[in-house]
Amino acid sequence: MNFKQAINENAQLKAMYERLVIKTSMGRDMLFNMEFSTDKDFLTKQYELTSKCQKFLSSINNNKKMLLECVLYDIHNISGSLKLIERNEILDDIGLFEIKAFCLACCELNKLLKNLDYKDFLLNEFTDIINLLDPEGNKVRQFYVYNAYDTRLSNLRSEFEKLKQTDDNQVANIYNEILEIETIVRKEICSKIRPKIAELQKAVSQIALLDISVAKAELNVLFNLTKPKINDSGITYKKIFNPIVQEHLKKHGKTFQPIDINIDNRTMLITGANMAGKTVILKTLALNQYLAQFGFFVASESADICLTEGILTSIGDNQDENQGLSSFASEILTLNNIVKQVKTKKRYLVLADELARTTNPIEGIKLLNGFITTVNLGNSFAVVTTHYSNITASCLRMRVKGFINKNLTPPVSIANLSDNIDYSLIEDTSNEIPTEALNLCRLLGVDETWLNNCN
Amino acid sequence: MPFISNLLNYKSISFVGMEKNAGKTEVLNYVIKRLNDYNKKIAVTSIGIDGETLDQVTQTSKPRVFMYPDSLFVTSEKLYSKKEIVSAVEDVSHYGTSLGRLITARTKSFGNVMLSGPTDTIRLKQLIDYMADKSDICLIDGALSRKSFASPSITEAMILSTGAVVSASIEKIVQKTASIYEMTKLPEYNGSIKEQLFNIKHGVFAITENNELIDLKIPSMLMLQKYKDVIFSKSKTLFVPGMITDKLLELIATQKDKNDFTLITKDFTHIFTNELNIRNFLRNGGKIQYLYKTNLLAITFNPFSPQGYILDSRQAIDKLRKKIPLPIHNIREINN
Repeated sequence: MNFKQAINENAQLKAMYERLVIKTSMGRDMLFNMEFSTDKDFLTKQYELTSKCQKFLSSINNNKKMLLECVLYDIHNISGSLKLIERNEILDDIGLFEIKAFCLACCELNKLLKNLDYKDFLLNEFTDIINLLDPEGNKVRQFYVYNAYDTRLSNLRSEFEKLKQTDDNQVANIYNEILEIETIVRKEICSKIRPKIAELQKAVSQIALLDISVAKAELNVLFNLTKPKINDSGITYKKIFNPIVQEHLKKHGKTFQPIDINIDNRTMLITGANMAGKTVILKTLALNQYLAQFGFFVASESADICLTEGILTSIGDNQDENQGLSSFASEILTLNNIVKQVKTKKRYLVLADELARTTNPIEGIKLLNGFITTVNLGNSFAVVTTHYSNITASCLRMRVKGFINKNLTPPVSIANLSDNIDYSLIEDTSNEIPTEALNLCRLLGVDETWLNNCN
Repeated sequence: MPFISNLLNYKSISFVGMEKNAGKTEVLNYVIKRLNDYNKKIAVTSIGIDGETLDQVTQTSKPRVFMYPDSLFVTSEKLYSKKEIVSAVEDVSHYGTSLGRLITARTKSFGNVMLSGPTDTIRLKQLIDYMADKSDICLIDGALSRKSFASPSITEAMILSTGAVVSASIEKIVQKTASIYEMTKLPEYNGSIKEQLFNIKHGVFAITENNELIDLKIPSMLMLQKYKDVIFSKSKTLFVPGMITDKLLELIATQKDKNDFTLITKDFTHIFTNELNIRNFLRNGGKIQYLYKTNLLAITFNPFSPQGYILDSRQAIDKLRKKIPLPIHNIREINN
């Protein structure tokens, strides 16, 4: 799966991408085509590039930062033009201008990045190409077929200028002659650029990588992200948080409570009252795993994670009436897909929210037990949330702590409720599940007759 | 010529025609020539697609813009290749228009170019700012057309071209031109949420007394009938970024409480209604306000129509002057 497919599948990853400021079109192309990576060396390298850029950005002043931004924003992707030259086609003035501007930008970037001190970003300055495209040595960011290219041009052009004002028949001839000479000049220029195509293409990739690394570094600062460590055994986060939810809460003057989580080969079963943030935990785990394996830093104080082949989720209602599927059937098919993948013994991160919640609890518990047992046979990491009790399958039971203050007086607004919940996870040794739904209803101020009739 | 010295006070000027062939390109060419005499560095572009050699509607030839050395012009990739001038590419836009990306070029000789430019106001504004850095004065070949989202009114001043193409009757021309002039005189909107409005391109919005902006979720002014219960549900002040239409004014006129509505739109080019409806609306205490106020400097009159008839210039100009307190010039005379 590449990054473009991933952001279409995961809304929170897309939200992160929307906050990532990619400045060049080649950077965007490279990022979109980046694969969900299981290559430890590749990812370590990505993290290192991001670190270097972050350190560099913090060492320069705002003016320089702006200048870097401007240079990056201005760079055109010349890959298309290079392909044309490769196919022996002749570029027009616009294409040649873009190549010249690109080479000038390379010089500028080298100057700006002098202190970055990283050889991967050291660009070729293409002095010969700049000289080729700047025969008058003006060093200006412009291009046309200069008179200096051909001694005939100057005369023909001034003659054309004079005759243009008259009705002389010669005008068309002279004009065509000028066009012919210009074409020959452009052809020569292209043939001189041709041997440099590989080097130019390399510079395009370098700039793309630089652009992505700088954008990732800026994202790190924006959300206070951290570099993950990579291991072979489990997924451990200290103070993991969800940057998107956190940003939303911040807007309303609230804070996100980070939690610690430690996932090993046992399936983790999370219980907790309604509104206790179980779904957010799953979404946060998914987002962070995506971030890490696309070479981003992650949202936690520290992270030590194991790379997976993919993230398999069953979160939210996939009910699709068009396909004639009920929410139950749709969920079961999703889960069945997950089971099939897990049975291949490849390592996945499996995240299932309130598994089998849309059917009767007696059979729901059976389905949940069966799922956990089946997933345990594979090699994957799994986190499942539930409201069901009496789960007998082998798993690590965790519970969201829940309400701190039991003596709230109803009605309490939803916003205030969240202030009274401790979202942290604790190990749960009992087989009981928290029965706080009725209490919650009371706090939300639901109809009294209804509540009284419940008991 | 009198009005050239007036132009020197402005950094950006748009040229707008009441109809195609009203003569705005001739005025533009004249101004470029005169500014060159004043040794001013100029930059020229256009709003949207405006570069066919043959006018697709009337099949008359479309005048090109004649440029002098060391000036800037902005046009699209497709039209850049049709230039008859030596010029150097100085910049290429990252975004495209229907005729390709926009090319900024510096002229190295005399000759004709065809212009094309951004189609939305924000990009036009950015382009004008960019050109203003590199020149003394920016000239924009504008359009009074509902096809264009870009407002010529973001320029500091405007010259309006009218002429025989508007109507065969002098009375009609005077009436229509005077009506446009009246529209340009309406005030600017200066509410506290003005900044928010600039970026909105579509829909209809209510602005409450507390300056709250509410999207009424009406996709198009053409679908007004379907949404007539929603449109006045929140406030009597509406922001209409697209266009103010007869439908809208008629709908207001049929309300029980039809008085004291305020309509806000981008500029006077976004009003597409007949005069009667507007007058009726204003008489009922209605207000129209603009995000961009137009500074109309002068009006030019073209006595020739593409259909072939010629009007009596002196009579037409006299009548225009009686209705409009602005300099009014005959373009057949300014060229001499």
